[in-house]
Amino acid sequence: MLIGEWNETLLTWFFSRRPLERVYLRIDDGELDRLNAEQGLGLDSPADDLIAAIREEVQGAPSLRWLRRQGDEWRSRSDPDEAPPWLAVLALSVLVVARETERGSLAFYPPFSEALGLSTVLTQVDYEESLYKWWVDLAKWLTHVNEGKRGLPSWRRIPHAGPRCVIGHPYTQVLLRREDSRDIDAFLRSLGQVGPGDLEVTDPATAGADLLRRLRQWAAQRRVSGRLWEILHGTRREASDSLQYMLLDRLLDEVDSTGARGLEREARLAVTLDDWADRRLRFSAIAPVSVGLWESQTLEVDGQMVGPLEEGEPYPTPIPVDATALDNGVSVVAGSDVTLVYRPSDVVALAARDWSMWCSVDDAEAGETVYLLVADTAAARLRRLLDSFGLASIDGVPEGWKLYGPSPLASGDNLDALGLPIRKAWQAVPRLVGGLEVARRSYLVGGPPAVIVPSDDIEMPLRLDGDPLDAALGDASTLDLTSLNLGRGHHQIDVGPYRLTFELHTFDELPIVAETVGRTRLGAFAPVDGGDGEPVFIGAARRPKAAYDPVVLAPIGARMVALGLPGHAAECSAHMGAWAVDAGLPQLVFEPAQGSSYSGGRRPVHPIRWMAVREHPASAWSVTQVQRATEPGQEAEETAASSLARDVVSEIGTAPTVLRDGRPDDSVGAGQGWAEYARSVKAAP
Amino acid sequence: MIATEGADLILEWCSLKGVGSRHSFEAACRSVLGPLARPSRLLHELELSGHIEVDWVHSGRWWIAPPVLGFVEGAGGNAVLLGARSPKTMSLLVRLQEVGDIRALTLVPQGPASPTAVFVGVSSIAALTAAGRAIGAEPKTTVRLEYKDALVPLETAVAAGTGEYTSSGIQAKRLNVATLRFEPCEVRFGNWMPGCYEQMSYGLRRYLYVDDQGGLHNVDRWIAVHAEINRAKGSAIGVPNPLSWSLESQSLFCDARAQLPTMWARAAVMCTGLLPIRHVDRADGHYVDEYRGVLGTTYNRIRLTLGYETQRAPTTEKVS
Repeated sequence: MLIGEWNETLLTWFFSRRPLERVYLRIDDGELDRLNAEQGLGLDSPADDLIAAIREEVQGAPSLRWLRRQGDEWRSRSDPDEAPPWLAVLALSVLVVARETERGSLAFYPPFSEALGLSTVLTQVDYEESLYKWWVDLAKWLTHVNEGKRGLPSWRRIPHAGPRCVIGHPYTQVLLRREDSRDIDAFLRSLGQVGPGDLEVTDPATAGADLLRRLRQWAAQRRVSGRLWEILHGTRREASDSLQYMLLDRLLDEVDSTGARGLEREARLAVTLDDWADRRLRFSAIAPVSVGLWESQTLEVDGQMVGPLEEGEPYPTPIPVDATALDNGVSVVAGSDVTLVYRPSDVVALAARDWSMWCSVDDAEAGETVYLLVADTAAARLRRLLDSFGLASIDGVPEGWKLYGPSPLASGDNLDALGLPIRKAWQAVPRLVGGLEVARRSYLVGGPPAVIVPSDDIEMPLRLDGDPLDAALGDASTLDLTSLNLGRGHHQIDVGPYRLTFELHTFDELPIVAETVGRTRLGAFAPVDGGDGEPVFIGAARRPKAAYDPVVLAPIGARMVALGLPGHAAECSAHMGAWAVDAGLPQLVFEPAQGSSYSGGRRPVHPIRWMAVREHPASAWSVTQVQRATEPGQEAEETAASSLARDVVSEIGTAPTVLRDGRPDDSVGAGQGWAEYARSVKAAP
Repeated sequence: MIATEGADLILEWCSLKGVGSRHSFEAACRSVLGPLARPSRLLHELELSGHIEVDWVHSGRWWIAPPVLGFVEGAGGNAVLLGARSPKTMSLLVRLQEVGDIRALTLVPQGPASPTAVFVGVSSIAALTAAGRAIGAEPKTTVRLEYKDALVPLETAVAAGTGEYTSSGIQAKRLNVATLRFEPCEVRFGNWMPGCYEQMSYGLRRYLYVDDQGGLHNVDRWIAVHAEINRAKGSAIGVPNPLSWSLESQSLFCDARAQLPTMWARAAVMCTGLLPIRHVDRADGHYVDEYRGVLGTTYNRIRLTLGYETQRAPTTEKVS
């Protein structure tokens, strides 16, 4: 094969996996044999063929000048589909490192130069001008040109000083086998709790060493591969240094807001179950940490709005849980750049945890109560485990699948049969929790977050805004910042080599409230636009609006008289509930409730037509019309005028101040209304 | 600027955030109120006050309600601020008071871990409307009436929860109507006898009411409890009437072991805008919730829809 064919073959083999998956150029003789067999290359010795193809291209020139020029042109084209012209050379460097490591050698430049067929040994300067830059270029191409669609690089952050600072890239690629990587992934699972921009590494060397120490502690509590154990506790300093770089690289990827995690536009679809009222299996969307960076946190699936999504919280979708979905997985584009993904598995464990529903999980804990959704094809493998589980009586479980439980998971071999990693809380780096977070790392003044500090015997100095912080840690190594009364503005907490930053705000703007949900008359939770015409109560508001008449408020005065049908009148005293007096509310107005009778006078007054008010004993009367229209039959009632009515109407006169909603109403109609009423009182028998 | 703290700060946060999960609410509560905070209780109080809506059962989420300036009858012209509120809401109200557009601004504390009730004094409906517009709140004069008139008979609420649920009944508890407490019982093979049951399901307490015909109803806890009390009226055992009303203080008292379901409780709270006060009943030591300022018509509606006879409350038997 020619070098161009090798470049294409290697690109397909190593960098065409799932989007955003971490990729390795992990090449050794065994991997090349697998590649040869599975790709049908038909080569007698793929390693020899790779070496020959590269030698043909390099032609013994240590400067690798021709490839460097091709590389510059390739970089300028920024073509996501074009294989890098030097990819085979990088692969060869990894192959050389793998072979040398296998025989316990630390040599790199001489064997690599020999493999390249160079006339002299490659110098560090030549290496830095070629392969070192190509590793960087390959990382940029995967991350930016391909936007992570071919996977994300695992070699980006090799320090500029220290052991293997130049030739560290190929070592990181062959340091661990696939099974070792699973252990590292499990260790780094807790890093998933920190998101883009959440953490800054102020001292990479110390942070790398710290991560390595924590990995040693973690590994001591678990069964890890012999190879990983040897790297952690062996005498090969170079290997543990490379491991540090890998760990640090992974951590920085998690917190880099412009990097890998910030690109994540995938929400996990989990199988969920409310086994009380709903009793149906559903797919719910669970957003990743980067959800705060999305354009919209509300997605549309089959015409239904899903969200707003919150990190780690399941939100039901209309996607049906059927055999096809469970067997083959689901991938649904639910927004301009967001995909909902369900990855199939023949055993799905549903746990309750902090959710108000059962939700499928990707790790398991001994003793945890779970439902198990099991494909019939996997039932035999799980027979011992399922002995303690009964079949669940949930309708609609897809054909070919059965739902068992709920029942606690026993520890031991039975648990291993699930094929899920064991769950254990592990805090590798500090992180912010709680607080009154309004936007990402932006909190209300008075509600700062707490800091979870890695809990073990490794002491980490704490600093707040640059000053040493001599604060006692609370439960679970939590540093509570509320009592420090932090003011508005940016703040930073330094925990050893890590820095956490956040901002405290006071938000003056009025809230923008989306009136989406409320309660029905039954008290049931319901969307506001339920559409069946029934009112929905949203707090104190109501949709559709009720057509109640407003209650009339009349200002308080020294004396108030309610005037009803011509001749009816009653002295009124300002009424206020005992609760309002106890609460310290001021008495501001007189409130005649609609349809009320007032028994303060000699006769009850119902309905009230006018309220007559005198603010001070010596001031003039003002009148407010309470009810304008005459109810049928009222005028026909024989009414004897009371002396109170006559006296007050006489005292008020024919041209008092007429109020409307507490303010003078100078309109002609208002004055005429009172004049007519006064005349009718005088005319009453 | 009125400084915000404690539960009011959390209400402000809810207002700014708009929607969230119970999980995030609990984390926020503990951050501000400390480890001894009772987030579920505060969430329920915010719900009763019309500040937020909570989907307790399914999504476990809460949503902020729109701001409403609701006139309260018998409050001498004071309207209560319900729903969302921000520091700007408060600063606008202070300014309205300074220029005389509102007559008073009164903050009524309801406890260290409860939201403060904000009352706005107005002298007319026009002033209420103007003040509401100025702070971006919907002015209303009829919140109590709307809630009161919306209440449905208990049978309707029970019927709405009718289902086919046939759980095993493992570790279920049954309500003892005489004591109003749930006690362990044995349910064999999902064969539920008539009664009111409590069973844990993924950390949540769920409730089931089984009627005399064996019909199964998955309903709210307090709907189930009142339904069971009503069902037991015909039996020989002493059945309590958990509701009583005081004409003198216009207070509605409700046994805390048989609390008002959400809509009924809101109808009572909307009479004043104030949360119920929890007392200890001197007679037997159980807790009683006092909803103050509940007008007779509202008490009657609550009583009738829940199926209870009129019961006058002695004014001296409760102590805080």
